[in-house]
Amino acid sequence: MSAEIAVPPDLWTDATPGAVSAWLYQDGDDIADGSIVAEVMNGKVTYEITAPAAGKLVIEVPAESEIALGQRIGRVESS
Amino acid sequence: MSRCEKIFKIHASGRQGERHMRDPFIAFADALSRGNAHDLVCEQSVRTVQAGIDEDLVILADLARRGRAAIRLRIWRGSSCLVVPRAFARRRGFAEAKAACALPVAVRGSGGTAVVLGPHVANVSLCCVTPSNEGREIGDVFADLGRVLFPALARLGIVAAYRRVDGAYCSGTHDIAVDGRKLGGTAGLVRTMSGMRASLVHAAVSLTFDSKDLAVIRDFERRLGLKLSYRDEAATSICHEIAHETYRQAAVA
Repeated sequence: MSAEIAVPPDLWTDATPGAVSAWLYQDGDDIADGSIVAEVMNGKVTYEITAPAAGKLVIEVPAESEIALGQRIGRVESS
Repeated sequence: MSRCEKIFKIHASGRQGERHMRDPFIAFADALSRGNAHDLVCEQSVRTVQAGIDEDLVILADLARRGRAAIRLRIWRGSSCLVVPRAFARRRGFAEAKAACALPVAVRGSGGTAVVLGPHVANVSLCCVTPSNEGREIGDVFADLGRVLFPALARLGIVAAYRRVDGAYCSGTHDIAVDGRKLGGTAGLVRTMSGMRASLVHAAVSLTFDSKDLAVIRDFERRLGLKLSYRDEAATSICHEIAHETYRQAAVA
């Protein structure tokens, strides 16, 4: 089973792009449900992205890549 | 003591100026506390800048745990330190840049680029917690901070507004600008915890400005491979603006 890690579509109000500023875990790390796994930045505001489930982190969009609201950036694989 | 600070101390006299003469940090904190509806926490000298930064997140978590809308205003300052966003700390070359830096290096969770904090910078933090489903945006929290900051600066005789200052360090749309120069910068952090949307916006307001700060920032960012350019003339400070206004008034009289 996998759970999607996505940028919430209402995280900021304008349509400007953001960026994944950092992943706080490595690809393949075990992460806990609700842990902060990534930071995305829009302007000078950092938004923390939490894990939707426990399991292994799969990073799909690397740090410093541009992202849009609603975009999937990774997933959590659980057994 | 910088030239501006000396001018400030010499010329900030008179009924209002008496209050300013001792320490611009105290004057600014006093101006913030007057007419402010929020509880103001004032810390003149935190143990370390990193501790000062971390304390904002402790306050944010504490407010979120209470499970109801809350707001907290804090002003603090610490010893000289370069502060960088967490994304910098994950860049290649960070350890070497940190080792070579002329100042201690602290890391913050909010966005932006590098800044120098120290006894000459007042940090104003606004922690705001609302239920996640209320949809309060970070822009609203920046507006809340502006409603506190700008009247306080006006009490010191400084007319400031949010505006991007091109050529300034750590520039953004919510720069605190005075006549096209940067008096302070702001940044924000949003996290969801305990079912609450917890927002932190903070401002670093220059009490005095030292161009050596820019040299430290330039050197650090260059070592990280960042090619950002800044102009010394794009920056100003509370002391500089008050001295300028005092001279202007004297000239008019």
